[in-house]
Amino acid sequence: MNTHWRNIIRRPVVTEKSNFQADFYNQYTFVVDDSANKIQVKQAVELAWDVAVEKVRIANMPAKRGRRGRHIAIRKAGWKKAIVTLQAGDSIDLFEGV
Amino acid sequence: MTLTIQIEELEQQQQRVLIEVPEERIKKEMRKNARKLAYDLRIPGFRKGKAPYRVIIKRVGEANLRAEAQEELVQPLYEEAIAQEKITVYGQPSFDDTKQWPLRFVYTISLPPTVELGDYRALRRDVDEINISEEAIDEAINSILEEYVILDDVDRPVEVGDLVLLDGHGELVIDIEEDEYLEETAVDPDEIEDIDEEEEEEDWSDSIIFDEENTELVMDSNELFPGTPFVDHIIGLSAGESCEFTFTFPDDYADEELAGKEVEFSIDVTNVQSRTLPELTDEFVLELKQKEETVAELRESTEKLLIRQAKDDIQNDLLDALGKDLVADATITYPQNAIEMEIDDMIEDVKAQIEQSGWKMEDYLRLQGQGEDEFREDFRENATTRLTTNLALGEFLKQEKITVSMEDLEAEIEKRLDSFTDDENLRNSIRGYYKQGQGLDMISSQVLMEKTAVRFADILTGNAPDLDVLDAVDTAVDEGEEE
Repeated sequence: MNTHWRNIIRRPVVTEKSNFQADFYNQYTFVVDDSANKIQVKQAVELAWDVAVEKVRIANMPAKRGRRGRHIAIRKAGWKKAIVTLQAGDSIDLFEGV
Repeated sequence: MTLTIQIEELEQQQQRVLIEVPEERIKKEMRKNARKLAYDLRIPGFRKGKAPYRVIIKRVGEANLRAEAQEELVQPLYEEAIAQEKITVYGQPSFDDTKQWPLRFVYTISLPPTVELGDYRALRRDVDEINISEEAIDEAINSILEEYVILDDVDRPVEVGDLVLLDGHGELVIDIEEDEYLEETAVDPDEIEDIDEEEEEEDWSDSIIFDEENTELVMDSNELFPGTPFVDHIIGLSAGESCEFTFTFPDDYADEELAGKEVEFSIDVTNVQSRTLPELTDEFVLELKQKEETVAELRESTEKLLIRQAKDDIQNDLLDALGKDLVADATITYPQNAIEMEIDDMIEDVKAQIEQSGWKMEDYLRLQGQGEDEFREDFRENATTRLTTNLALGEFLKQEKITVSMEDLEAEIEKRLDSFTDDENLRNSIRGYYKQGQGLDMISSQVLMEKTAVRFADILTGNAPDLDVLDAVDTAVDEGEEE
Protein backbone atom coordinates (compact mmCIF):
# COMPACT_ATOMS: atom_id res chain seq x y z
CA MET A 1 0.00 0.00 0.00
CA ASN A 2 1.12 3.46 -0.86
CA THR A 3 1.88 5.04 2.44
CA HIS A 4 1.80 8.68 1.38
CA TRP A 5 0.02 10.62 4.12
CA ARG A 6 -2.78 11.60 1.77
CA ASN A 7 -3.63 7.92 1.44
CA ILE A 8 -3.89 7.58 5.20
CA ILE A 9 -5.70 10.80 6.05
CA ARG A 10 -8.69 11.37 3.81
CA ARG A 11 -10.12 14.62 5.12
CA PRO A 12 -10.76 16.44 8.37
CA VAL A 13 -14.08 16.12 10.11
CA VAL A 14 -15.56 19.59 10.41
CA THR A 15 -18.41 19.62 12.85
CA GLU A 16 -19.36 21.51 15.95
CA LYS A 17 -17.99 18.72 18.08
CA SER A 18 -14.65 18.40 16.28
CA ASN A 19 -14.32 22.15 16.29
CA PHE A 20 -14.90 22.24 20.02
CA GLN A 21 -12.30 19.53 20.61
CA ALA A 22 -9.77 21.36 18.48
CA ASP A 23 -10.31 24.59 20.39
CA PHE A 24 -10.33 23.19 23.91
CA TYR A 25 -8.45 19.87 23.89
CA ASN A 26 -6.03 20.33 21.01
CA GLN A 27 -7.57 17.24 19.41
CA TYR A 28 -8.07 17.07 15.65
CA THR A 29 -10.44 14.66 14.00
CA PHE A 30 -9.90 13.04 10.58
CA VAL A 31 -11.52 10.53 8.33
CA VAL A 32 -8.74 8.02 7.74
CA ASP A 33 -8.28 5.03 5.49
CA ASP A 34 -10.13 1.94 6.65
CA SER A 35 -6.91 0.04 6.87
CA ALA A 36 -4.88 2.67 8.70
CA ASN A 37 -3.66 2.06 12.24
CA LYS A 38 -2.75 4.52 15.01
CA ILE A 39 0.93 4.47 14.19
CA GLN A 40 0.34 5.25 10.52
CA VAL A 41 -2.00 8.09 11.42
CA LYS A 42 0.53 9.50 13.87
CA GLN A 43 3.29 9.42 11.30
CA ALA A 44 1.06 10.89 8.59
CA VAL A 45 -0.05 13.80 10.74
CA GLU A 46 3.48 14.56 11.89
CA LEU A 47 4.64 14.51 8.29
CA ALA A 48 1.82 16.56 6.85
CA TRP A 49 1.70 19.40 9.37
CA ASP A 50 5.06 19.16 11.05
CA VAL A 51 3.63 18.79 14.53
CA ALA A 52 4.23 16.45 17.42
CA VAL A 53 1.43 13.97 18.07
CA GLU A 54 0.85 12.91 21.64
CA LYS A 55 -1.72 10.19 21.05
CA VAL A 56 -4.18 8.86 18.52
CA ARG A 57 -7.55 7.30 19.15
CA ILE A 58 -9.31 5.41 16.44
CA ALA A 59 -12.94 4.46 16.11
CA ASN A 60 -14.77 2.52 13.42
CA MET A 61 -17.90 4.39 12.59
CA PRO A 62 -20.77 2.11 11.67
CA ALA A 63 -22.43 2.24 8.28
CA LYS A 64 -25.95 3.63 8.10
CA ARG A 65 -28.24 0.81 7.13
CA GLY A 66 -31.75 0.69 5.85
CA ARG A 67 -34.11 -2.16 5.02
CA ARG A 68 -35.76 -3.01 1.73
CA GLY A 69 -38.01 -5.92 2.71
CA ARG A 70 -35.75 -8.87 3.45
CA HIS A 71 -32.63 -7.16 2.13
CA ILE A 72 -30.48 -4.90 4.16
CA ALA A 73 -29.20 -1.96 2.13
CA ILE A 74 -26.37 0.26 3.12
CA ARG A 75 -27.20 3.94 2.80
CA LYS A 76 -23.87 5.24 3.96
CA ALA A 77 -20.69 3.25 4.23
CA GLY A 78 -18.84 2.92 7.51
CA TRP A 79 -15.61 4.79 8.01
CA LYS A 80 -12.67 4.98 10.30
CA LYS A 81 -12.30 8.05 12.50
CA ALA A 82 -9.08 9.11 14.11
CA ILE A 83 -8.92 11.68 16.89
CA VAL A 84 -5.39 12.97 17.10
CA THR A 85 -4.19 14.73 20.23
CA LEU A 86 -1.28 17.06 19.60
CA GLN A 87 1.31 18.04 22.10
CA ALA A 88 0.57 21.27 23.90
CA GLY A 89 1.67 24.23 21.79
CA ASP A 90 1.19 22.61 18.41
CA SER A 91 -1.83 23.22 16.23
CA ILE A 92 -3.19 22.54 12.78
CA ASP A 93 -5.02 24.96 10.60
CA LEU A 94 -7.53 22.70 8.95
CA PHE A 95 -8.65 25.32 6.51
CA GLU A 96 -5.31 25.81 4.90
CA GLY A 97 -5.00 23.86 1.70
CA VAL A 98 -6.82 20.70 2.70
CA MET B 1 -10.03 55.90 16.51
CA THR B 2 -9.34 58.63 14.01
CA LEU B 3 -9.86 58.16 10.34
CA THR B 4 -7.47 59.29 7.66
CA ILE B 5 -9.36 61.80 5.60
CA GLN B 6 -8.43 63.77 2.51
CA ILE B 7 -10.56 66.70 1.44
CA GLU B 8 -10.47 68.32 -1.98
CA GLU B 9 -12.28 71.55 -2.65
CA LEU B 10 -14.51 71.51 -5.71
CA GLU B 11 -16.42 74.31 -7.37
CA GLN B 12 -19.79 75.54 -6.22
CA GLN B 13 -19.54 74.81 -2.53
CA GLN B 14 -18.78 71.17 -3.00
CA GLN B 15 -16.05 69.01 -1.57
CA ARG B 16 -14.66 65.66 -2.47
CA VAL B 17 -13.96 63.62 0.62
CA LEU B 18 -11.71 60.58 0.58
CA ILE B 19 -11.86 58.38 3.63
CA GLU B 20 -9.30 55.68 4.14
CA VAL B 21 -10.97 52.49 5.29
CA PRO B 22 -9.08 50.89 8.19
CA GLU B 23 -8.50 47.18 7.57
CA GLU B 24 -9.60 46.22 11.06
CA ARG B 25 -12.94 47.91 10.49
CA ILE B 26 -13.59 45.69 7.51
CA LYS B 27 -12.53 42.60 9.41
CA LYS B 28 -14.81 43.53 12.25
CA GLU B 29 -17.68 44.12 9.89
CA MET B 30 -17.03 40.78 8.17
CA ARG B 31 -17.13 38.91 11.45
CA LYS B 32 -20.33 40.66 12.40
CA ASN B 33 -21.93 39.72 9.11
CA ALA B 34 -20.69 36.14 9.32
CA ARG B 35 -22.27 35.79 12.75
CA LYS B 36 -25.58 36.93 11.33
CA LEU B 37 -25.22 34.70 8.31
CA ALA B 38 -24.57 31.64 10.47
CA TYR B 39 -28.17 31.70 11.60
CA ASP B 40 -29.46 31.39 8.06
CA LEU B 41 -26.99 28.95 6.62
CA ARG B 42 -27.34 25.18 6.91
CA ILE B 43 -23.85 23.87 7.36
CA PRO B 44 -23.49 20.09 7.84
CA GLY B 45 -22.00 19.22 11.18
CA PHE B 46 -23.18 22.40 12.86
CA ARG B 47 -26.39 23.56 14.41
CA LYS B 48 -27.70 26.86 13.05
CA GLY B 49 -25.75 29.82 14.32
CA LYS B 50 -23.03 27.59 15.74
CA ALA B 51 -20.64 27.43 12.82
CA PRO B 52 -17.35 29.21 13.50
CA TYR B 53 -16.12 32.11 11.39
CA ARG B 54 -13.57 29.96 9.55
CA VAL B 55 -16.25 27.59 8.38
CA ILE B 56 -18.56 30.32 7.21
CA ILE B 57 -15.87 32.17 5.35
CA LYS B 58 -15.06 29.00 3.50
CA ARG B 59 -18.67 28.49 2.65
CA VAL B 60 -19.57 32.02 1.57
CA GLY B 61 -16.28 33.08 0.09
CA GLU B 62 -14.03 35.72 1.55
CA ALA B 63 -14.45 38.12 -1.39
CA ASN B 64 -18.22 38.15 -1.05
CA LEU B 65 -18.10 38.71 2.65
CA ARG B 66 -15.60 41.50 2.14
CA ALA B 67 -17.62 43.25 -0.54
CA GLU B 68 -20.66 43.19 1.65
CA ALA B 69 -18.74 44.53 4.60
CA GLN B 70 -17.40 47.37 2.47
CA GLU B 71 -20.82 48.34 1.31
CA GLU B 72 -22.09 48.45 4.83
CA LEU B 73 -19.28 50.71 5.94
CA VAL B 74 -20.06 53.44 3.39
CA GLN B 75 -22.65 55.19 5.53
CA PRO B 76 -21.15 54.86 9.05
CA LEU B 77 -17.66 55.85 7.93
CA TYR B 78 -19.08 58.93 6.26
CA GLU B 79 -20.88 59.91 9.41
CA GLU B 80 -17.78 59.41 11.52
CA ALA B 81 -15.67 61.45 9.13
CA ILE B 82 -18.15 64.32 9.11
CA ALA B 83 -18.22 64.32 12.88
CA GLN B 84 -14.44 64.14 13.06
CA GLU B 85 -13.85 67.01 10.62
CA LYS B 86 -16.80 68.98 11.98
CA ILE B 87 -18.14 69.67 8.50
CA THR B 88 -21.61 71.11 8.13
CA VAL B 89 -23.15 69.29 5.21
CA TYR B 90 -25.99 70.63 3.16
CA GLY B 91 -28.42 68.07 1.85
CA GLN B 92 -27.54 64.53 0.93
CA PRO B 93 -23.97 63.47 0.11
CA SER B 94 -23.30 61.20 -2.80
CA PHE B 95 -21.07 58.17 -2.60
CA ASP B 96 -19.06 58.16 -5.79
CA ASP B 97 -16.45 55.50 -5.83
CA THR B 98 -13.93 53.36 -4.06
CA LYS B 99 -10.21 53.64 -4.67
CA GLN B 100 -7.72 50.92 -3.96
CA TRP B 101 -4.40 50.70 -2.12
CA PRO B 102 -5.17 51.79 0.40
CA LEU B 103 -8.89 51.25 0.18
CA ARG B 104 -10.62 54.61 0.21
CA PHE B 105 -14.21 55.70 -0.14
CA VAL B 106 -14.90 58.79 -2.24
CA TYR B 107 -17.85 61.00 -1.47
CA THR B 108 -19.00 64.32 -2.85
CA ILE B 109 -20.60 66.53 -0.27
CA SER B 110 -22.25 69.89 -0.57
CA LEU B 111 -21.56 72.71 1.81
CA PRO B 112 -24.21 75.19 2.89
CA PRO B 113 -24.59 78.11 0.49
CA THR B 114 -22.65 81.23 1.28
CA VAL B 115 -24.09 84.67 0.88
CA GLU B 116 -22.18 87.90 0.71
CA LEU B 117 -24.49 90.82 0.52
CA GLY B 118 -23.55 93.96 -1.33
CA ASP B 119 -23.63 97.35 0.29
CA TYR B 120 -27.37 97.34 0.63
CA ARG B 121 -27.17 99.91 3.41
CA ALA B 122 -26.15 102.49 0.84
CA LEU B 123 -29.40 102.10 -1.10
CA ARG B 124 -31.48 105.24 -1.11
CA ARG B 125 -34.92 105.56 -2.60
CA ASP B 126 -38.22 107.20 -1.87
CA VAL B 127 -40.68 105.03 -0.03
CA ASP B 128 -44.35 105.44 -0.82
CA GLU B 129 -46.19 107.05 2.00
CA ILE B 130 -49.60 105.99 3.11
CA ASN B 131 -51.90 108.68 1.94
CA ILE B 132 -55.62 108.07 1.98
CA SER B 133 -57.54 110.87 0.34
CA GLU B 134 -61.12 111.81 1.14
CA GLU B 135 -62.06 110.80 -2.39
CA ALA B 136 -60.68 107.32 -1.87
CA ILE B 137 -62.87 106.93 1.20
CA ASP B 138 -65.86 108.27 -0.70
CA GLU B 139 -65.23 105.76 -3.43
CA ALA B 140 -64.94 102.88 -1.01
CA ILE B 141 -68.17 103.86 0.70
CA ASN B 142 -69.82 104.29 -2.67
CA SER B 143 -68.99 100.72 -3.53
CA ILE B 144 -70.76 99.63 -0.35
CA LEU B 145 -73.78 101.68 -1.41
CA GLU B 146 -73.63 100.08 -4.86
CA GLU B 147 -74.36 96.73 -3.27
CA TYR B 148 -77.64 98.09 -1.92
CA VAL B 149 -78.60 99.93 -5.11
CA ILE B 150 -82.34 100.44 -5.62
CA LEU B 151 -83.64 99.40 -9.05
CA ASP B 152 -86.85 100.79 -10.56
CA ASP B 153 -88.47 99.94 -13.90
CA VAL B 154 -88.83 103.17 -15.87
CA ASP B 155 -90.68 103.97 -19.04
CA ARG B 156 -88.22 106.33 -20.69
CA PRO B 157 -85.25 106.25 -23.00
CA VAL B 158 -81.98 104.90 -21.62
CA GLU B 159 -79.83 107.34 -19.68
CA VAL B 160 -76.28 107.06 -18.51
CA GLY B 161 -76.07 104.87 -15.40
CA ASP B 162 -79.25 102.90 -16.11
CA LEU B 163 -79.42 99.15 -15.91
CA VAL B 164 -80.50 97.88 -19.32
CA LEU B 165 -81.81 94.41 -20.11
CA LEU B 166 -80.91 93.60 -23.70
CA ASP B 167 -80.19 91.01 -26.35
CA GLY B 168 -77.14 91.79 -28.38
CA HIS B 169 -74.82 90.46 -30.99
CA GLY B 170 -71.45 91.86 -32.00
CA GLU B 171 -69.26 90.59 -34.78
CA LEU B 172 -65.96 91.71 -36.24
CA VAL B 173 -66.20 92.88 -39.81
CA ILE B 174 -64.08 90.33 -41.68
CA ASP B 175 -61.61 91.44 -44.22
CA ILE B 176 -62.91 89.99 -47.48
CA GLU B 177 -59.54 90.09 -49.17
CA GLU B 178 -58.19 87.58 -46.72
CA ASP B 179 -60.93 85.13 -47.64
CA GLU B 180 -60.15 85.43 -51.32
CA TYR B 181 -56.51 84.94 -50.65
CA LEU B 182 -57.31 81.65 -48.98
CA GLU B 183 -59.25 80.33 -51.94
CA GLU B 184 -56.56 81.34 -54.37
CA THR B 185 -53.79 79.60 -52.55
CA ALA B 186 -55.65 76.34 -52.14
CA VAL B 187 -54.90 73.92 -55.03
CA ASP B 188 -56.73 70.67 -54.55
CA PRO B 189 -60.50 71.17 -54.98
CA ASP B 190 -61.24 68.74 -52.12
CA GLU B 191 -58.88 70.60 -49.97
CA ILE B 192 -60.56 73.86 -50.73
CA GLU B 193 -63.76 72.49 -49.37
CA ASP B 194 -62.06 71.25 -46.24
CA ILE B 195 -60.22 74.44 -45.66
CA ASP B 196 -63.30 76.51 -46.26
CA GLU B 197 -65.25 74.61 -43.71
CA GLU B 198 -62.54 74.73 -41.15
CA GLU B 199 -61.72 78.35 -41.72
CA GLU B 200 -65.32 79.33 -41.63
CA GLU B 201 -65.83 77.65 -38.34
CA GLU B 202 -62.77 79.27 -36.90
CA ASP B 203 -63.74 82.66 -38.19
CA TRP B 204 -67.17 82.15 -36.78
CA SER B 205 -65.99 81.69 -33.21
CA ASP B 206 -63.20 84.24 -33.49
CA SER B 207 -65.16 87.03 -35.00
CA ILE B 208 -68.06 87.07 -32.55
CA ILE B 209 -67.04 89.24 -29.67
CA PHE B 210 -70.42 89.69 -28.05
CA ASP B 211 -73.42 87.39 -28.07
CA GLU B 212 -75.82 87.64 -25.15
CA GLU B 213 -79.50 87.19 -24.51
CA ASN B 214 -81.30 88.87 -21.63
CA THR B 215 -78.16 90.30 -20.21
CA GLU B 216 -78.19 93.20 -17.78
CA LEU B 217 -75.68 95.92 -18.44
CA VAL B 218 -75.02 99.10 -16.53
CA MET B 219 -74.64 101.97 -18.95
CA ASP B 220 -71.22 103.14 -17.87
CA SER B 221 -68.82 104.03 -20.67
CA ASN B 222 -65.88 103.50 -18.33
CA GLU B 223 -66.79 99.86 -17.91
CA LEU B 224 -68.41 98.79 -21.17
CA PHE B 225 -65.99 98.77 -24.11
CA PRO B 226 -64.21 101.85 -22.74
CA GLY B 227 -63.02 104.32 -25.34
CA THR B 228 -65.69 103.24 -27.87
CA PRO B 229 -69.07 104.73 -28.68
CA PHE B 230 -70.85 101.49 -27.61
CA VAL B 231 -72.75 103.04 -24.71
CA ASP B 232 -73.51 106.23 -26.66
CA HIS B 233 -75.37 104.18 -29.27
CA ILE B 234 -77.65 102.58 -26.71
CA ILE B 235 -78.43 105.76 -24.83
CA GLY B 236 -81.70 107.22 -25.97
CA LEU B 237 -83.30 103.89 -26.90
CA SER B 238 -86.48 102.87 -25.12
CA ALA B 239 -87.63 99.40 -24.10
CA GLY B 240 -88.63 97.42 -27.21
CA GLU B 241 -86.44 99.46 -29.53
CA SER B 242 -83.44 98.08 -31.34
CA CYS B 243 -80.51 99.44 -33.30
CA GLU B 244 -77.54 98.40 -35.37
CA PHE B 245 -74.25 100.22 -35.48
CA THR B 246 -70.61 99.76 -36.34
CA PHE B 247 -67.47 101.31 -34.90
CA THR B 248 -63.73 100.72 -34.90
CA PHE B 249 -61.84 99.92 -31.72
CA PRO B 250 -59.14 102.48 -30.98
CA ASP B 251 -55.59 101.32 -31.77
CA ASP B 252 -54.59 101.49 -28.12
CA TYR B 253 -57.54 99.38 -26.93
CA ALA B 254 -56.72 97.29 -23.85
CA ASP B 255 -57.55 94.00 -25.59
CA GLU B 256 -54.90 93.72 -28.29
CA GLU B 257 -56.96 91.21 -30.26
CA LEU B 258 -59.58 93.86 -30.86
CA ALA B 259 -57.49 97.01 -31.17
CA GLY B 260 -57.99 98.72 -34.53
CA LYS B 261 -60.68 96.24 -35.63
CA GLU B 262 -64.05 97.23 -36.99
CA VAL B 263 -67.08 95.72 -35.30
CA GLU B 264 -70.77 95.47 -36.12
CA PHE B 265 -73.37 95.40 -33.35
CA SER B 266 -77.09 94.77 -33.25
CA ILE B 267 -78.87 95.47 -29.97
CA ASP B 268 -82.47 94.88 -28.82
CA VAL B 269 -83.39 96.69 -25.65
CA THR B 270 -85.94 94.75 -23.58
CA ASN B 271 -86.18 96.71 -20.36
CA VAL B 272 -84.79 99.81 -18.72
CA GLN B 273 -84.26 100.25 -14.99
CA SER B 274 -83.03 103.27 -13.16
CA ARG B 275 -80.42 102.76 -10.46
CA THR B 276 -80.56 104.88 -7.34
CA LEU B 277 -77.95 104.59 -4.64
CA PRO B 278 -79.38 104.51 -1.12
CA GLU B 279 -78.79 107.60 0.94
CA LEU B 280 -75.88 107.42 3.32
CA THR B 281 -77.50 107.90 6.72
CA ASP B 282 -77.02 106.49 10.20
CA GLU B 283 -80.06 104.27 9.58
CA PHE B 284 -78.44 102.81 6.48
CA VAL B 285 -75.24 102.12 8.42
CA LEU B 286 -77.27 100.38 11.12
CA GLU B 287 -78.93 98.19 8.50
CA LEU B 288 -75.54 96.91 7.40
CA LYS B 289 -75.48 95.13 10.78
CA GLN B 290 -71.76 95.71 11.18
CA LYS B 291 -69.87 97.02 14.17
CA GLU B 292 -70.26 100.60 12.99
CA GLU B 293 -73.40 102.49 13.99
CA THR B 294 -73.03 105.95 12.48
CA VAL B 295 -71.84 107.41 9.21
CA ALA B 296 -68.83 108.90 10.95
CA GLU B 297 -67.85 105.52 12.35
CA LEU B 298 -68.22 103.92 8.94
CA ARG B 299 -65.96 106.53 7.41
CA GLU B 300 -63.43 106.00 10.14
CA SER B 301 -63.34 102.23 9.81
CA THR B 302 -63.25 102.47 6.02
CA GLU B 303 -60.25 104.73 6.30
CA LYS B 304 -58.58 102.25 8.63
CA LEU B 305 -59.25 99.46 6.17
CA LEU B 306 -57.81 101.46 3.32
CA ILE B 307 -54.77 102.35 5.37
CA ARG B 308 -54.21 98.71 6.14
CA GLN B 309 -54.54 97.72 2.52
CA ALA B 310 -52.17 100.46 1.44
CA LYS B 311 -49.74 99.39 4.12
CA ASP B 312 -49.89 95.79 2.92
CA ASP B 313 -49.33 96.88 -0.65
CA ILE B 314 -46.36 99.02 0.27
CA GLN B 315 -44.98 96.23 2.43
CA ASN B 316 -45.25 93.72 -0.39
CA ASP B 317 -43.61 96.11 -2.82
CA LEU B 318 -40.82 96.74 -0.35
CA LEU B 319 -40.20 93.06 0.24
CA ASP B 320 -40.18 92.37 -3.49
CA ALA B 321 -37.76 95.21 -4.09
CA LEU B 322 -35.63 94.13 -1.15
CA GLY B 323 -35.28 90.63 -2.53
CA LYS B 324 -34.34 91.89 -5.96
CA ASP B 325 -31.93 94.53 -4.69
CA LEU B 326 -30.17 92.10 -2.38
CA VAL B 327 -29.80 89.42 -5.01
CA ALA B 328 -28.56 91.92 -7.59
CA ASP B 329 -25.62 92.98 -5.42
CA ALA B 330 -24.94 89.79 -3.57
CA THR B 331 -22.43 87.06 -4.26
CA ILE B 332 -24.23 83.83 -3.62
CA THR B 333 -22.53 80.48 -3.99
CA TYR B 334 -24.63 77.41 -3.62
CA PRO B 335 -24.16 73.76 -4.49
CA GLN B 336 -26.13 72.18 -7.28
CA ASN B 337 -28.20 70.09 -4.94
CA ALA B 338 -29.59 73.22 -3.31
CA ILE B 339 -31.42 73.94 -6.53
CA GLU B 340 -32.61 70.37 -6.80
CA MET B 341 -33.90 70.52 -3.25
CA GLU B 342 -35.71 73.74 -4.03
CA ILE B 343 -37.30 72.16 -7.09
CA ASP B 344 -38.30 69.17 -5.01
CA ASP B 345 -39.98 71.53 -2.57
CA MET B 346 -41.87 73.33 -5.29
CA ILE B 347 -42.99 70.13 -6.94
CA GLU B 348 -44.11 68.85 -3.57
CA ASP B 349 -46.29 71.93 -3.20
CA VAL B 350 -47.80 71.56 -6.65
CA LYS B 351 -48.36 67.88 -6.06
CA ALA B 352 -50.15 68.56 -2.80
CA GLN B 353 -52.38 71.06 -4.58
CA ILE B 354 -53.16 68.66 -7.40
CA GLU B 355 -53.87 65.83 -5.07
CA GLN B 356 -56.05 67.99 -2.91
CA SER B 357 -58.26 68.69 -5.88
CA GLY B 358 -58.72 64.96 -6.34
CA TRP B 359 -56.25 64.42 -9.18
CA LYS B 360 -53.34 62.12 -9.44
CA MET B 361 -49.92 63.47 -10.31
CA GLU B 362 -49.49 61.04 -13.21
CA ASP B 363 -52.83 62.02 -14.73
CA TYR B 364 -51.96 65.67 -14.45
CA LEU B 365 -48.64 65.15 -16.20
CA ARG B 366 -50.32 63.17 -18.96
CA LEU B 367 -52.85 65.94 -19.42
CA GLN B 368 -50.03 68.44 -19.70
CA GLY B 369 -48.28 66.14 -22.14
CA GLN B 370 -45.15 66.43 -20.05
CA GLY B 371 -42.77 63.90 -18.66
CA GLU B 372 -41.56 64.13 -15.09
CA ASP B 373 -38.22 65.52 -16.29
CA GLU B 374 -39.71 68.27 -18.41
CA PHE B 375 -42.00 69.15 -15.56
CA ARG B 376 -38.97 69.49 -13.30
CA GLU B 377 -37.12 71.67 -15.80
CA ASP B 378 -40.05 74.08 -15.85
CA PHE B 379 -39.35 74.86 -12.23
CA ARG B 380 -35.63 75.38 -12.59
CA GLU B 381 -35.65 79.08 -13.30
CA ASN B 382 -38.16 79.90 -10.61
CA ALA B 383 -36.35 77.70 -8.17
CA THR B 384 -33.13 79.59 -8.79
CA THR B 385 -34.80 82.91 -8.14
CA ARG B 386 -36.56 81.62 -5.08
CA LEU B 387 -33.43 80.08 -3.68
CA THR B 388 -31.21 83.12 -4.17
CA THR B 389 -33.88 85.46 -2.87
CA ASN B 390 -34.45 83.38 0.22
CA LEU B 391 -30.75 83.05 0.89
CA ALA B 392 -30.19 86.78 0.48
CA LEU B 393 -33.15 87.63 2.69
CA GLY B 394 -31.97 85.17 5.31
CA GLU B 395 -28.56 86.83 5.37
CA PHE B 396 -30.20 90.22 5.55
CA LEU B 397 -32.19 89.17 8.62
CA LYS B 398 -29.03 87.87 10.21
CA GLN B 399 -27.00 91.00 9.54
CA GLU B 400 -29.77 93.30 10.58
CA LYS B 401 -30.49 91.16 13.60
CA ILE B 402 -34.19 91.07 12.90
CA THR B 403 -35.94 88.55 15.06
CA VAL B 404 -39.44 88.03 16.31
CA SER B 405 -39.86 87.85 20.05
CA MET B 406 -42.78 86.46 21.98
CA GLU B 407 -43.75 90.02 22.95
CA ASP B 408 -43.91 91.03 19.30
CA LEU B 409 -46.23 88.15 18.61
CA GLU B 410 -48.49 88.89 21.54
CA ALA B 411 -48.77 92.52 20.57
CA GLU B 412 -49.69 91.55 17.01
CA ILE B 413 -52.26 89.01 18.17
CA GLU B 414 -53.95 91.54 20.45
CA LYS B 415 -53.99 94.08 17.64
CA ARG B 416 -55.76 91.63 15.38
CA LEU B 417 -58.21 90.59 18.05
CA ASP B 418 -59.21 94.21 18.68
CA SER B 419 -60.28 94.69 15.10
CA PHE B 420 -62.02 91.34 15.03
CA THR B 421 -64.25 90.72 18.00
CA ASP B 422 -65.03 91.70 21.59
CA ASP B 423 -66.27 88.26 22.58
CA GLU B 424 -63.81 87.07 25.22
CA ASN B 425 -64.39 83.36 24.57
CA LEU B 426 -63.74 83.75 20.89
CA ARG B 427 -60.71 85.89 21.62
CA ASN B 428 -59.25 83.18 23.80
CA SER B 429 -59.73 80.46 21.25
CA ILE B 430 -58.11 82.62 18.59
CA ARG B 431 -55.22 83.33 20.92
CA GLY B 432 -54.81 79.59 21.31
CA TYR B 433 -54.76 79.13 17.56
CA TYR B 434 -52.01 81.67 17.08
CA LYS B 435 -49.86 80.25 19.86
CA GLN B 436 -49.05 76.94 18.22
CA GLY B 437 -48.59 75.04 15.01
CA GLN B 438 -49.87 76.54 11.81
CA GLY B 439 -51.25 79.68 13.40
CA LEU B 440 -47.96 80.40 15.11
CA ASP B 441 -46.01 79.82 11.91
CA MET B 442 -48.28 82.11 10.00
CA ILE B 443 -48.30 84.99 12.42
CA SER B 444 -44.60 84.86 13.13
CA SER B 445 -43.74 84.93 9.45
CA GLN B 446 -46.11 87.83 8.97
CA VAL B 447 -44.60 89.77 11.84
CA LEU B 448 -41.13 88.98 10.53
CA MET B 449 -42.04 90.25 7.07
CA GLU B 450 -43.49 93.40 8.54
CA LYS B 451 -40.38 94.08 10.58
CA THR B 452 -38.19 93.39 7.56
CA ALA B 453 -40.16 95.77 5.39
CA VAL B 454 -40.01 98.47 8.04
CA ARG B 455 -36.27 98.08 8.38
CA PHE B 456 -35.79 98.22 4.63
CA ALA B 457 -37.88 101.36 4.43
CA ASP B 458 -35.66 102.84 7.16
CA ILE B 459 -32.57 101.91 5.17
CA LEU B 460 -33.93 103.42 1.98
CA THR B 461 -34.72 106.68 3.70
CA GLY B 462 -31.45 106.66 5.63
CA ASN B 463 -33.12 106.28 9.02
CA ALA B 464 -31.89 102.83 9.92
CA PRO B 465 -30.00 102.39 13.19
CA ASP B 466 -26.31 101.67 12.83
CA LEU B 467 -25.36 98.03 12.89
CA ASP B 468 -23.03 98.79 15.84
CA VAL B 469 -25.96 100.08 17.79
CA LEU B 470 -27.87 96.91 17.01
CA ASP B 471 -24.92 94.91 18.27
CA ALA B 472 -24.91 96.88 21.48
CA VAL B 473 -28.63 96.34 21.97
CA ASP B 474 -28.16 92.68 21.31
CA THR B 475 -25.50 92.22 23.94
CA ALA B 476 -27.46 94.32 26.39
CA VAL B 477 -30.41 91.98 25.96
CA ASP B 478 -28.18 88.96 26.40
CA GLU B 479 -26.73 90.32 29.59
CA GLY B 480 -30.14 91.22 30.85
CA GLU B 481 -31.25 87.63 30.34
CA GLU B 482 -28.27 86.30 32.22
CA GLU B 483 -29.08 88.37 35.25
